[in-house]
Amino acid sequence: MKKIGCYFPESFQRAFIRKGMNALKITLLIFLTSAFNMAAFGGTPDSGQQGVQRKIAGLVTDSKGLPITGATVTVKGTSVGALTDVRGRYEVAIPDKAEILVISFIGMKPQEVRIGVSSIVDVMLAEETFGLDEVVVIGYGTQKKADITGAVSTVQPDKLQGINQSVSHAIQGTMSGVTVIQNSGQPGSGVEIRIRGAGSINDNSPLYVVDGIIGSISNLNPADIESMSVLKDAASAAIYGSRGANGVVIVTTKKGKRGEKATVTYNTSQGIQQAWRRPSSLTAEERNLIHKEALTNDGTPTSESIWDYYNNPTNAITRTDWFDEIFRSGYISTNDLSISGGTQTSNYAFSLGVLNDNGIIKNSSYKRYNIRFNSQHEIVKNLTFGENISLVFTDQNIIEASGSYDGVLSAALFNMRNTPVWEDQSKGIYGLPTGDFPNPVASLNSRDNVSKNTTAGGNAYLEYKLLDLFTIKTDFGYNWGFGKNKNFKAIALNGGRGLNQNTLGESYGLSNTWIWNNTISFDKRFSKHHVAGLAGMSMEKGLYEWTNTGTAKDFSNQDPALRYFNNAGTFPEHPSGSADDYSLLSYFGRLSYEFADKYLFAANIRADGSSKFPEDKRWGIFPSVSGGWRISKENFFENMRDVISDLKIRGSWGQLGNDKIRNYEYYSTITTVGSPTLDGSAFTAYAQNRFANTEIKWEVTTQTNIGIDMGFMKDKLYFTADYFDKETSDILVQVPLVSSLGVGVAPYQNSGQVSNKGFDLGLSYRNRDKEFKYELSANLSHVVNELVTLGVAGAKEIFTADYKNTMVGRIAQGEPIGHFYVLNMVGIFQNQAEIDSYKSSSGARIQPAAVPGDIKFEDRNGDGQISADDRFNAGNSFPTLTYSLNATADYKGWDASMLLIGSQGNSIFNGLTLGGTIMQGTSYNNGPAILDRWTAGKPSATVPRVTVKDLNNNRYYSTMFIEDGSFARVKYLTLGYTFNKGVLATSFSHLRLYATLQNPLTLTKYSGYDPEVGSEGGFSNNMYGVDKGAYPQARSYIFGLNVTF
Amino acid sequence: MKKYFAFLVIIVALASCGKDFLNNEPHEFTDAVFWKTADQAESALAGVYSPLQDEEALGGEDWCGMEAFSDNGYMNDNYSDYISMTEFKATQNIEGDLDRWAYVSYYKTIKRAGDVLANVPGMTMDEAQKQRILGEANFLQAFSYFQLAARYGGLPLYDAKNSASSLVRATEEKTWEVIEADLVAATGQLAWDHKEGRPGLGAAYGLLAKVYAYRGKWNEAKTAAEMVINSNRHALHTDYAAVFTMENENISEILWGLGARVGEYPITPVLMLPNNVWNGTHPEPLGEGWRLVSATNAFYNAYQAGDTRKAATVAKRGVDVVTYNGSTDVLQAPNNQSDVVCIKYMSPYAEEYSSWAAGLNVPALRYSDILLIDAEAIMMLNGGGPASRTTGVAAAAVPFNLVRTRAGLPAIASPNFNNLMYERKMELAFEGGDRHFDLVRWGLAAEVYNSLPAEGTYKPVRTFNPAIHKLMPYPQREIDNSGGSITQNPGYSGAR
Repeated sequence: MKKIGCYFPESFQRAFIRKGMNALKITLLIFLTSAFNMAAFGGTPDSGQQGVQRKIAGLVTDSKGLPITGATVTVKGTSVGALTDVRGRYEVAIPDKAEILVISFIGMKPQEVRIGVSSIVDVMLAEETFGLDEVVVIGYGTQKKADITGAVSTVQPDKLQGINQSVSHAIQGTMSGVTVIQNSGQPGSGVEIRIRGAGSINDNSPLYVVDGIIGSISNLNPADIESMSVLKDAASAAIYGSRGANGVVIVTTKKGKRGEKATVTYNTSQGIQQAWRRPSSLTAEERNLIHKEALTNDGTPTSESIWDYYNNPTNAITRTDWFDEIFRSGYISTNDLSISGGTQTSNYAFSLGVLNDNGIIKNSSYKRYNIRFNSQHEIVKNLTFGENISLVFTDQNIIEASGSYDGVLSAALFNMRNTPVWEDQSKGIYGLPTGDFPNPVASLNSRDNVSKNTTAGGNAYLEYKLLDLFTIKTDFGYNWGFGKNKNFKAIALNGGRGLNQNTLGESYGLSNTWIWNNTISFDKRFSKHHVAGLAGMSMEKGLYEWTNTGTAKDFSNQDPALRYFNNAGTFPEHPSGSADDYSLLSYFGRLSYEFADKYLFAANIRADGSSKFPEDKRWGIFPSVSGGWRISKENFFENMRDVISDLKIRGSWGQLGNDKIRNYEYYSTITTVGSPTLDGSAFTAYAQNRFANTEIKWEVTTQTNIGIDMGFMKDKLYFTADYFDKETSDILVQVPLVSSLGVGVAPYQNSGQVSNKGFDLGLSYRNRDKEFKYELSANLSHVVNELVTLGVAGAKEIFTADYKNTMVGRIAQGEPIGHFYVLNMVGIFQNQAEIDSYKSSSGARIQPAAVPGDIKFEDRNGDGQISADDRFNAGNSFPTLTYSLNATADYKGWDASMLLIGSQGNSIFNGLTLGGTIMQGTSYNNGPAILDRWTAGKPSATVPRVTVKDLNNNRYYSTMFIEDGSFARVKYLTLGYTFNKGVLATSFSHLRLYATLQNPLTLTKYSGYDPEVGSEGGFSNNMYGVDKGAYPQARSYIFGLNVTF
Repeated sequence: MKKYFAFLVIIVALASCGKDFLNNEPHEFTDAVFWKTADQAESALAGVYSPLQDEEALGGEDWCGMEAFSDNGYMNDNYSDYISMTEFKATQNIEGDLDRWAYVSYYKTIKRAGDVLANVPGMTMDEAQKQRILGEANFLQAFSYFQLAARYGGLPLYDAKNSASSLVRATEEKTWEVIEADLVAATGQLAWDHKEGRPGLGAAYGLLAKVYAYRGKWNEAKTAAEMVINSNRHALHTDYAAVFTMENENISEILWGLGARVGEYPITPVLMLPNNVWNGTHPEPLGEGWRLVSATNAFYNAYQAGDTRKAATVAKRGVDVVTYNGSTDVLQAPNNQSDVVCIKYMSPYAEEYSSWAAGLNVPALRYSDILLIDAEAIMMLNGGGPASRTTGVAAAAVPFNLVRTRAGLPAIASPNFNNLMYERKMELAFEGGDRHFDLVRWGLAAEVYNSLPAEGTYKPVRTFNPAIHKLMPYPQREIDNSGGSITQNPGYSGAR
């Protein structure tokens, strides 16, 4: 087998010369044949040097040449080892096949030394500098952290704690300037990442790069991650030009190490999860009290039939706690197995991961299976071939959690508690809901909504090092994704609106994306100069094809096994389907220069051509420059180095683009628009449903960044600060059209300008000198966002975020993007005199319909009446301040860690206030907060009187619905123990047990289910925090095991 | 070493492939490839019909909801902003559902009709087919403008070549001129024969007569109405109740009915269907009727003795017998606020409740409406009318009595305007709000509405101020989204 590994490359080389240009075909060929090579590299790692058992001796010193006493010298992969004596000397008898010595000492960087023929191995250990020599992955390359001139955050996998459903979940709170927004606690649901605020009115999600290939991280297994870098400023991201405006997240997956025996790692974690907060609603008796009081307040005569309902004693019996009926103890587990290793010339890694997440609301679940393989081979000297292959399968059971009208979380609040779950369970008849909301149990039981996705992707590359100066690389990536959603809704007798008939709809999507990167880079040091550069091009093409079957109805048998189209009775809808494609062609370059490790300079340029823009507007050129000064390297600084071990100031400027809009925006299309009944049957209908904009072009973000890095006491204390000023112009604005234009979809126009200014701070303190080692780190980010102008003639504002057919959000000039726009509740009218004295300039009462106990609204525009014109910016939906605190400690075998995250300055529109505190007719139950209502005997300043007629319009969206969404949450609390090698069977090299509490503590004033509301509901790009009853985050109790063989 | 420079060569070679690589065309029709075949013209015409079927438009809630403005009915559901408009209390139109989406749907029809009218004339196809397509487009555009003009007055007019025209409201006069012109054009393009769900010449002349009546052009109204009457293509069905059944949804009395099929919008029957019809006295799928709009007791009591339209239109709980879901018994319907419900569209559910969408066509324009417009025009031209309501006009007797006697009432030899008001009220009740539009155009809304005593909490005492309430407040979102170039109607908040 090994021969294949050796000979194949030669034949490849010949083929390469012969066929010359057709590298694409060859790359694919290698990609395929690599599967054969795997067994060779995976099964029998190269044995390396062999010999008889012998002794090796040497001296261990620090960087100044002083001997180190008590350093540990071990033979890697064995328990053989020795300590250095007071003179720093050691002697160790090495077994057969020993390859590597590991020398370590507290406060020093461990070092591995390959054992050669010599029996003397002297080692100089460097002091741990805490990261400055750390290699950071940047666009199309790597850089030492010390040399970075932009704003880059990194995170290592050992910082990821607990069970993370996705990579995005895992990085929450680990980096400054990176805000992770949880949209829902529903298993398998999305998480959004925002870097330095919302730069655009459009899609603000960053660009994701996995192992050098632009893609997605949503289905990555967090356990596979080696490192992540986030490029925050323009200079760092500029090499990604057109799509870096919202920042770039670069993920590198775990690789095997050359010359290392196969290592098998198995991690498992098992957890129970529960709702961290348990809401409640009025009992039947309390509901009777409130509703009768409301009817009395409205003067509804007691002769009206509605009173009969409350006078009927059976309606005063509380039969059901709907929250008990929908919540459960969920179960979550992860199982990850990985095998990695290498030979002298190759390395490989294989991993298998299974996530099983059964959510805290019944019938919600998510399973994910990840398989990943990568290997690298130096097929001849200086020519490396490598590939990454990933397979992901997901299976999600989706419940209707948060719809304005049909979400079970709202339904559980609004359903009456005298209603039983079942009217007659033997006949399958549910307790009949009184209003629009379904019986929550019926909704959960009747919905059989399953999404299954398969993604297969990977990349293969060839890298050639020329003259130790140039590196030439070609890298081809391909991603294939297939997703299917099958949504069956069974009849639930009495279940409520929409559950009276069975329906089946299926949809399928197939995506094919390929990307080809070709780069040439060089790196040269001469005397004190260090010059490096990169030039490259990239081609990318994607095609997404979808089919939607339309809805079939009237299944005569609802057996789960029969929920397929063959068994449907009628097919009233036509299927639909279409395709979307895009392509991108890019050329880019980078040049960096350093002098004496003190003066750093870099420049980037990228030109992108995107198919999303018309031919004459297609190309955008995005430049950037950056510089840094390592003051601590200057001679004059020498005296201060004992205290300030590192000091660097950085500055950068650059421009980036954004093309995250629909494809074909410069075409006006004519599409199917329903199927009216004509001539007695369905007729295919077409219409133009959107206008084209042939002038559309790139959105451009210009960002300036100033940063400082400071290390104290040999960098034990490290401080990083960045200030940024980010201005996005030519924003692609989809200004809502007047309906009289007769199209449903507004075209994008280049217009508008958004400003984001703020700072990112990071502070860490590490002490690893003693046996008790600990590290504290804190991040804090602040961003001020403002829409400078919408730029469209006549358009001052865009209303957004619909809650029950009224827009609660707004995007307007001079205000932060996505703020809440409602009336101002001044207070509650306590008596008639207050109502009478609330007058306009003309002397008329401003709220003539009000009676004591009603809400007093502010007449902000002073026109003497309360109307939509009195709405104002009542709070920002995006936090202005986010922070995190991470603490880890270990002592002997014990380790403990904690992560706290927080957000400040964001508001939440609590949709559940409507109905929870304000009556929505007599068909709905209310939340317990309504018990604090205003009454003549017990006045309230915050909750109005109860009324169904509501002549004063207390229900108008006002500041009563807006709550402070700030929170501080302990995300994880972990305690672990790693077993001493001595107690382990020899085949284990590492065994750790741990327990994690996830979300053990949340501090918030917010009264809804969960302050992490996110953007569930579909206005993700500019509005957060509209709580329609968001699926809450779970509190989990997790136990886990890490074992390495 | 040289061979590895092949990499570089590849990179350079790639630089030349840019242009075509970046050209992706949509996988849907564009203007450039559409508007070529007769089938495409037909499906573009179908696109004109399609918005009318939306839940809120002609096929649904707004068509039903308009009856709540009159004294006939009230909004039984909890659409508070809509209710506030029907009670003439609203200072602006922030209604987010019925009225809002109906407005959107009608404008989609207007725009799509405009596109058909702009593109089809230049296409090569059978000339008769082309004329029919253009005629239907003209009719549907006029119908949609008519609905909106009656509610809001002057409207933004769609112009396929000038989008700015959609951003300002034309004058009321200009708006009605466009409606008239569309219909006049349609009368030159349509034929008497038409297929189900499509307007023919009868619909075009009929709607034209109605539009002339709204504008007080009585000679023209009479002429247009009599084009329909004298065509002998249309007749009243003998049984009023049977007009609103599936069997008769396409009879000649229906000048134009919006097509429906089972399982699809429009959904008029379920919108009007009482909720919990039997209240446990007979089997039924509970909670299915939406009871969006119901009738007042005053309306129930206004019927003259012997008027067969009463039993076909309304039923009183505990009193009247209805047939529903296979049972015939006294109506219960406890979830209606008044004692009276509208049962006009209940027949599809007589044997069995099927689904939301029973498949009954919407009777958008009926022959009896045109007969009464003819009678009204004759009265107006002969000294009758709102100002002289007791003046009998014998010349109006023929069309008037066709409608009245079909309802089982005795003929009146010389009907006066009061008689006409009664006939229009009872004949067209719960068919899209004619009662309210009639009272407004006659200038009698204040007199009728303001004198009514309160009925329960669902129909309080109302104050109709003709200077303001003759038009509804213009939808606020349209004003907002236009940046203020679309203006509010006088008397409402923010009006200039």
